[in-house]
Amino acid sequence: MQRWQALAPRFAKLGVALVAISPDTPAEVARMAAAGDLPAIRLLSDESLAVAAAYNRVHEGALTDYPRRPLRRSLMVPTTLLLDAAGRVRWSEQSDDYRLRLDAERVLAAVTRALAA
Amino acid sequence: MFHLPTLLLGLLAFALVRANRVVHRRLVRALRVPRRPVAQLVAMALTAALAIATLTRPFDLVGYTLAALALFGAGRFLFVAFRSRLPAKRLIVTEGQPAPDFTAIDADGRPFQLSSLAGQPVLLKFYRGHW
Repeated sequence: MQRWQALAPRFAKLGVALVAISPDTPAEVARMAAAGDLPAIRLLSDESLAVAAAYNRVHEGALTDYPRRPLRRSLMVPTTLLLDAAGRVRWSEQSDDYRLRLDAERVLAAVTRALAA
Repeated sequence: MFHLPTLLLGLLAFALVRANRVVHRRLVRALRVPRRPVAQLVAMALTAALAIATLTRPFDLVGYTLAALALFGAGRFLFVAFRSRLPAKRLIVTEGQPAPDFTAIDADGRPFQLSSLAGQPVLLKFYRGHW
């Protein structure tokens, strides 16, 4: 997420709003926002995974591999969508391995191309 | 209760697991995690073997504890490395289709509706959170 934040001015130049949604609780999202590391990203909580389900993004029984967390819980399939000004999907990409992060620079290039088309 | 070789072997196994974790975190931050981290997998398999070998040595409380922790850490790394594939789920919308509107709670605890951003492009990211 820090990489997305670092590229925020370039996304802003394209007029693109950055929205990130996760199964974190509202309190966890508030804590993350209060830390101040991601001011350009609108952080949202989807604790019930209702939004994820509406987009078919629920990863049931995901392995969490983090201390003080259940070993398995339902999470989201990491996915990025570009919506145009009319709210239509212009580009999307989903990860097939949660250890592999999407390169924000590559996303910026894809977004630039999609919006220019 | 005290056996120096066992203690040293346990310490070595534990240090190897910790070092691997540091390396792995650096790779994650630098977006350089390989699809199959062969070198790390081999290192962790050898570390697990070392930890098991330590546990067959004469008893040393600290050495056994460190070896057990190393075995757990190496085992977890190996397990996760082979279980990190995500389900290939079809996105509910395809390119050109309108994204379903939704309401979620923002960082201020207020409901936020996606359609409130109508009129500007949006990069919407579903992520796993901090788990």
